[in-house]
Amino acid sequence: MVVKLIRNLANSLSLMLVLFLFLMATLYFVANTGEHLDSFGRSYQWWMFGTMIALGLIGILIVVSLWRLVADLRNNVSGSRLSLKLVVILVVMALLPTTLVYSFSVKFLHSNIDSWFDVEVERALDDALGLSRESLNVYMRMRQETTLNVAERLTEIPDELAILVLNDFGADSDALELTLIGADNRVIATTAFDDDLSVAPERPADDIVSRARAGISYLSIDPSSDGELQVLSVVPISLADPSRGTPVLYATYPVPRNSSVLAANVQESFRNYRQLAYLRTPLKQSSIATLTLAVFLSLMMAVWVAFYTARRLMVPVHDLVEGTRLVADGDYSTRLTTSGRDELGDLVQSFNDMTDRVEAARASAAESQLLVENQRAYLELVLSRISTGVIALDENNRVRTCNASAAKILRVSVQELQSTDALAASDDEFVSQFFSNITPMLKANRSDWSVEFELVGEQGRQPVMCRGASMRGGGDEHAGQVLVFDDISDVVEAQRNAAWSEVARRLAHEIKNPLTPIQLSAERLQHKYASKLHGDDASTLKKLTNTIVQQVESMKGMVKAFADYATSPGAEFQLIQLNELVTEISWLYREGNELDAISLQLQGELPLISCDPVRIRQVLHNVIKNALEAMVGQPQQEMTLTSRLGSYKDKPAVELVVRDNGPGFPPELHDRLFEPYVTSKRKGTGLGLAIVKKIVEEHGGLVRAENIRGDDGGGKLTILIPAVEQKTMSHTPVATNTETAAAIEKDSYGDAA
Amino acid sequence: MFLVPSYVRLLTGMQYCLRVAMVVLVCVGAAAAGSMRYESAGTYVSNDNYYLDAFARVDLGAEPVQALVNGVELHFLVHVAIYKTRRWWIDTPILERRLRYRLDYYELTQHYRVTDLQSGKSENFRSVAAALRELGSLSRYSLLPANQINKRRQYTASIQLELDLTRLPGPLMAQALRSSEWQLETEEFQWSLN
Repeated sequence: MVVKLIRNLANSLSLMLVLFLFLMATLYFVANTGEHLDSFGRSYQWWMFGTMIALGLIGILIVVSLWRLVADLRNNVSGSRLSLKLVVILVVMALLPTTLVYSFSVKFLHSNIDSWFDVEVERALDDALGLSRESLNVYMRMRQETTLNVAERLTEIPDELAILVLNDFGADSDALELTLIGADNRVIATTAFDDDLSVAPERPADDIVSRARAGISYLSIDPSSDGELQVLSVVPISLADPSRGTPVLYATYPVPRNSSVLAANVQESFRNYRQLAYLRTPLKQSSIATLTLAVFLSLMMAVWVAFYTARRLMVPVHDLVEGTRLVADGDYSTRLTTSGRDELGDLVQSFNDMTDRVEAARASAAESQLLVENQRAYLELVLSRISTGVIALDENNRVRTCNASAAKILRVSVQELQSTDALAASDDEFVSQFFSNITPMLKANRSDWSVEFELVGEQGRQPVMCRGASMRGGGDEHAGQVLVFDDISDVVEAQRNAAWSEVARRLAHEIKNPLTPIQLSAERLQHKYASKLHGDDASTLKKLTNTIVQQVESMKGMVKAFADYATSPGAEFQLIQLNELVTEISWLYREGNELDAISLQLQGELPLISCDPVRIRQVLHNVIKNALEAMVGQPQQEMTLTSRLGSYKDKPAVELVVRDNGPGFPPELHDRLFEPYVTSKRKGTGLGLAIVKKIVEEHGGLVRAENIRGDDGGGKLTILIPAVEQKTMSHTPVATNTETAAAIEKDSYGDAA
Repeated sequence: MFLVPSYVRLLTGMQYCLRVAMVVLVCVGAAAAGSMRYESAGTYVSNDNYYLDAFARVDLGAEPVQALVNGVELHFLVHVAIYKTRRWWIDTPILERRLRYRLDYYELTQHYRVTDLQSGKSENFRSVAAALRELGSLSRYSLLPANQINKRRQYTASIQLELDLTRLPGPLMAQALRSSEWQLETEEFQWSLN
């Protein structure tokens, strides 16, 4: 609380005004010291007391202000350094003129006081006093004569008559009072000639009387109580009769009024002069001390005013610095209170306007950034979801960004693809091929290009369609390329299938038409001429016509097969258990030396598939036939049909694997096994596997062929058909051995029977 | 004196110590320093009235005499007081008087003048010693009627003489207040009234 009070006082303008007024009064007081010597002394103590209090007060305020300034400096409070500078400047500005004025004032004070005194004046006053004293002495001796005359008259006069003599003489002389004091110290007679005197006579001091008795007269001029001068004369009276002792005559005379006044004036002037001369040094000392105090007070005031002004001036500066710091730290809501209508006030207003604008600009920037972020996120989402691969290259042809599809098409992870150098060799086969295929376009730096190529690797072939566009930066400089590419294997295959279908359809159409007339013609030829010919001719004709009919029949089969491939009759989908179909079809081939060749390994609990049973049967026929044909010539024929639950495109699928121990698929045909008219057999249309693939793909499935590695060798054909997502309710445990297969076969037989 | 309460005695003791210290200081400070001391003081009853007689030996010292001769008026204050002494409580003053006297030098007639500022009467002396003798003496000064004094109670009277520095001319006062030579006052002279 005390601290708060002191702080308030330190900031109080009214206190400053009071102290200033007091200071002015002190200065006025100093200026009047010379003229009012007495009043100066009366109030001197109070003035000193007041000045001390004022000095103490200002001292405390200055110490408080200084302490605050030092604390501010230590805490690095903004504006404190400027405050310090301002205080130092103001103090120096106050100190210089004050010191100058003070030194000159002291000098003038000395000379001014000294100028009051003059040797001539002093001597004149001394002389005047001496003259007055001399004239009074003359008058005094004159009066002594008078007294002595009276005393002489009284020598012969008895005491009783003394009063008469006194009255006579007293009336003649100017005496104020005549008193005869007897030897026994009694007043024998007294007479007063002035109305003012009291009845009781004034007696001279006893010692004067006793000395007068001893023969020593007394004569003096005394100032009376009312300031008038009077002559006192005491003389002994030598009586004729010594036995009566020695009476004493005491007489007082007034000094003539004129002389008395003049003498008193001289005395007063002399006294004043002497006093002043005597007080010269203390007067100087006091005046200088008071002046010093006043100067000191004004200096302290100046220091305090300096602190006060600095503080007042620094408030908006401090606010501005703090505000700027806050804004620099990112707090744009800072607003300063405007102080005054001066330039600082304008500055504060400008600061507020600036922060307003900065805040608005920042808000709009944040909004734009959010928009951009959203758009980017949207774009990223779109890119991550599309199946098209997108790669962005920077100006140095390094991969900047890529989406998941790009990595998938190139068979690498996104991380591996990131920051790959497009022009440098890569470890990965596909990536390396991909970039080597587009390198010419990248180097040419064309703005828009498109290229189609095929990636070949261990995993197979991958046709790719790639389009590129170069990006331009703000200054139209090259900022990299965007590559957009698609896995077009499906497209290519579809095109190829379409083409083959067209070929097969036309071939069937063109060949089928003449076949029937040819066959009919051959039969008629046999029918008509067989009976007419004999012996060898007849048998030759029959053999030839039979050959024609057989070959035509064979060609009809081939044409039918082509027609089948070309046209897909309206499928009728049913929910079928694949195992049943496999068992049914495999049974048809269990005859002759193929009886034991086929073994089934069917998983019991398989989901149903949605399929056209007729076409799936065709598939099974084709694959089994294909396998059996492949094993022709093998000493021990072994074929295994395995069914199990697999997955295709991350969804459950029924997988059927057909293995044989034949020579396997010829490697040179591997890539085109499923294309029409591709076959390793001497006989055959090469449509078997093409039809298989066509039907399986019509069912949304997959077929792939591979050779079994190892000692046995052989081919392996895998068919995947998506399962209907509905679990079978069979309780049959999972069986993967032949016994189970046999059991299923038995059931099938039962059904068949 | 034994009836004076203990704290008064303590205060008196402290005052005494202080004065001894001051006297020592004054003695060390200036050889020509003056001194003032009451040699005797007493009251008596006459015509059912209490009267005071007192005599102080006053020696001004060089500096004040110098000032006096140079026309400076010296003012003196005589404090007279009578206290009703109470054993358990502070003493009650029943009479407090301040008598003023002025001493000045009349150059023209070379007299030292003592003026009683109460009555306005003045006396002239040839020597400063005579003037100071007159200044220090107080005879048959009427204090108070005897009926104001309760015979069964204890009363203490005191008298003190001092040089009134505040009446000095300003510049001289500033100096005198700081100077030990000007610090002139008697000890408080106390005696029992009855």
